[in-house]
Amino acid sequence: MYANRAAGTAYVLPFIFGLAAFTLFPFVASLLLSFSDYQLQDPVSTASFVGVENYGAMFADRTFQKSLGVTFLYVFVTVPLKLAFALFIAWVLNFRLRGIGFFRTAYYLPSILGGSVAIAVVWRYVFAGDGLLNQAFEVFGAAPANWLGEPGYAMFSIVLLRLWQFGSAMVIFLAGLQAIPEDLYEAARLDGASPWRMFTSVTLPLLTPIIFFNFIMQVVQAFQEFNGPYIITGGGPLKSTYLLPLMIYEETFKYFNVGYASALSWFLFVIVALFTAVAFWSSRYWVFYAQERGEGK
Amino acid sequence: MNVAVLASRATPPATGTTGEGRRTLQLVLRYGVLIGVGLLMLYPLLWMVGAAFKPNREIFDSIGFWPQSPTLEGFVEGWRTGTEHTFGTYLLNTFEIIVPKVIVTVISSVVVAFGFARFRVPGRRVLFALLIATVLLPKSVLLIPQYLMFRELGWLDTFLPLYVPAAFATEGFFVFMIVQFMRSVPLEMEEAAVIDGCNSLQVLLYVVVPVIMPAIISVALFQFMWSMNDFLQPLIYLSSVEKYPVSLALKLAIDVTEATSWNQVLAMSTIAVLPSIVLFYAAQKYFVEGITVGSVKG
Amino acid sequence: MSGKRTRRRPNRAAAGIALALLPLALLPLALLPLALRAADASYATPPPQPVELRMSWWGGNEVHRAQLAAIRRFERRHPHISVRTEYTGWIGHLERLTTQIAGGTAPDLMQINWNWLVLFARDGRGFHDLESLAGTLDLRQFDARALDMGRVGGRLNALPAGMAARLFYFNATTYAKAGLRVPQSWDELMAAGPLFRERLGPDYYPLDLQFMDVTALARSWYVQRTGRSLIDEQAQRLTARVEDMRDMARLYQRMVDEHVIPGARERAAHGYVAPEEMRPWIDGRYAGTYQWNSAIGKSVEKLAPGQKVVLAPYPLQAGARDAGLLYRPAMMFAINRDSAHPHEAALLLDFILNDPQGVRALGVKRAVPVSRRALQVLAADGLLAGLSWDGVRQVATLPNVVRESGYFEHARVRDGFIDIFEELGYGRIDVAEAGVRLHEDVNRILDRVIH
Repeated sequence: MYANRAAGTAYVLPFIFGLAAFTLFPFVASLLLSFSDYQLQDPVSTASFVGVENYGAMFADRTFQKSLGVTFLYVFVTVPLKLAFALFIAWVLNFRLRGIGFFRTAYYLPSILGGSVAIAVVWRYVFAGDGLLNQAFEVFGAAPANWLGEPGYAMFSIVLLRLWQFGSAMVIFLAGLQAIPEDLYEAARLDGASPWRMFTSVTLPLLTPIIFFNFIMQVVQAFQEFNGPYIITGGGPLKSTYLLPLMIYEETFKYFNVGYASALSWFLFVIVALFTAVAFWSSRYWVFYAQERGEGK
Repeated sequence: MNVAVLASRATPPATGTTGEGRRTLQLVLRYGVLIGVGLLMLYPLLWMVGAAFKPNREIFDSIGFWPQSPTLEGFVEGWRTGTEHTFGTYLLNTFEIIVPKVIVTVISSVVVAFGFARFRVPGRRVLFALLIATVLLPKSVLLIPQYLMFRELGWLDTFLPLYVPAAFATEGFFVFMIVQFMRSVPLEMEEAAVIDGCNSLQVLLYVVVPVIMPAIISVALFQFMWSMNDFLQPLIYLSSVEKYPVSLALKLAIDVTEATSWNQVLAMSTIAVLPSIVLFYAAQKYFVEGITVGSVKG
Repeated sequence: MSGKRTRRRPNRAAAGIALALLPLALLPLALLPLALRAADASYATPPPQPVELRMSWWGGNEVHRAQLAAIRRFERRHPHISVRTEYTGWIGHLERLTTQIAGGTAPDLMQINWNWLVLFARDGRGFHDLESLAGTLDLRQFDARALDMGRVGGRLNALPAGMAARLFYFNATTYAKAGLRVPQSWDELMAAGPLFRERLGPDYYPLDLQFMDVTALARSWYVQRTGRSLIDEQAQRLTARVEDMRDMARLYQRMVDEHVIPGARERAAHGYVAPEEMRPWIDGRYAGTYQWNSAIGKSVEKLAPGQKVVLAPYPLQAGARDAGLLYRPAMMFAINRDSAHPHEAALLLDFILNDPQGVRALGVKRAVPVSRRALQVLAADGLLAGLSWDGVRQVATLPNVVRESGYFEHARVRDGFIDIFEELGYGRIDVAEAGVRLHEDVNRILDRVIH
């Protein structure tokens, strides 16, 4: 740590300025709006204060309850799976194989495509009633399922979409793996460590700051997932894929209920903040930062 | 796929006398799986490129990506667009927005992260908590207040709202990421540099940045890619068609009363996706170097 | 160390800077002088002040090109007016327009949807009163009913650029394959279901309906039976009783059971797509659609080659005094209430809707125009043909008196219907319960949204 606080403040200054100039007003405004009945088609001046009415209405709203439920399901399923995938593939792609560059690019491509039309079309082909997946099932003698039309199954298609787009998490893990010095592996090998032992004693501990980052970010992004439901299922069928960000978007731009949408957003914020806070608190037990390690082992 | 097997094979090969055949088998297996899974990753892009070469009728016929009657119509018409500008204009706009955005994002994120990671800044905990907090709120709810704010500044219908905030480390995701990478780097190298008489800025530029270069490159990549896909922000800030970036231009032809020429949309989507792909392929080379500073023993 | 000055209390400085940066909001475009055209012919009359108008619309490539062509012609006619065009595809248009209206930065001339009037112009003061511009804008070309649909609170907020109604279009090729003629009545439509299943297979259906279409169809059937509109705007509720809503639900259920339309699960298996992009429509298995005549073009274009779509006679129940068409503007134009140049905006609007040059540029690409002069011009050019025009003529022959409230197409109301039909379609509720829910939930929604 450097002692010069003034320099430190100087480094952080752009953020403070940005906070004050660009972030503070929208944040505060949206928080205030959540206590109002502001409708988007009216001028802001007509909004009136309604206290916690929006929040109360939220908990009585059947659609909200359903949306919250499917959002939690989505997060709990996709986050661990995606982290595991991304770490595994990053590990695989960390080697000096010939042409590894092509593979890395290929594995990152799904993320580049983002919410593009091509994904929507291909996903439909794969998951439609007469689509590829069902055809493959029939070949193997399994019964085809109504992936897009059945409320229980539609979630599967958007979970898979998220898992398929693991590229960003993978890249971050890759960067993290790269940051582990070779000589540590050398030392471990000289000590006679097996490959698995090297992974658990050298790689994982040193990777924990990155795992921590990815974990937090994946949780946050999973809670904020919008594209998948929007383009693949439209939130259906029967709201079974109606994730909270989609509900917020529709409340804002379809129903013009900005006050209510703001309340939903801030409620989501609180939930995610709680998760994050717990994660940060737990990090002292399992995340190892370099300077706290003393001797690199 | 056995991780242990892979790990052991990653080490510099033992002077290859025993198990040459086995090694080849492992190689074949490894490439086989990589290619197999890689195809799953690649297929939608292949389909998109193939569809770009199909006539519009053929697109929804099948999932096969090879066009039965290939045509350049999608590209030619798509490039012309239905507007008074070619797609080239929109590509240029996109770069005009994204290049400054990426540059200022990288600079501000690294600088601010350095402050957080290495200094006892007064109020650090609170500021860091605020930083994380800005990432947690769903962005759609900020759109209207931000719009009003930029209206007051007179920045509507300019590119400014799209990249100026990024110059002030408003994207907490990237700052947080760099902070984590910085904190996982041992202090010994920096301490050595300070003893040698460097000030903090020099340490940042010459010691820290090279070490976390893969992370910095990731930041640039992500910002580039996410900004290319960003639709809602350019939509509300830019009203002049000649200023549209690619994300808006791609949706210009998608309408409810008119049938959409998907081959045009997909052709232009292909073109729009190319910069990201090229950039990624070029950048991932830096992920091979790893840390080259071996001068500090732990 | 580095030569930076450290600032005490950076927050305050930053706040000060932010405040100092609050200039008057520039009216971005209104008074920017552009290069004057060669309009300085005489010094006797001073050249008119250059004016820049902003106009926004949505559409696809063809509409964009046509509209731009019309605007360039307008600019040649009025050299001192330049038009800044702001257009998008359908996706995102309402979001942007809403943001602009909320922020007071809406363009001078805007294309809007009819059902946005109840959102933006609830009290009638949302947009500029077009009747005050009657000197420039030739309103006599529009019949009373068309004008009436643009009136809110007695003020004319918007002008229709085309009218539309939901009509029945069928795939004649598939029907021929089944050895049937295109249905001419409700009974024939219902009978076609089992015949399709028998003769063509379980994949084939006489008609395809999204839940939104189901709602419209059920409404049409209700209006035919009762001669009333579905929504009573004054009372802020449905005119229907629980029994009526149950009958509407039963109509849907019957159509599914009789194989007239695909069931919810089966339909959803094809994915969340527009009906014209569903594969069964493209290859002719879903052989009918209940669609806006103004939008039928896109459905036809998507068909696999060798198939033909025709307009069917509108089925009427015995004794129906009104066909229950949802006859309303396909799209409208409105002028920004706070526009700095309402007169010039009216000039532009008049050019697009009434002037032969403007009309010719757009043709019927957007919709069949309403203006009498426009129709004369297009008729003379032979452009009045095709399925959309067939629809216009059919509407003229049908009893069409009942005016439906704009709230029928309000997003909340519409989704209220759709959600309940969906639950019925998935078997979560039965017909009786659906009737009750439709009555209760929709009334509650209407009560909330109608002020």
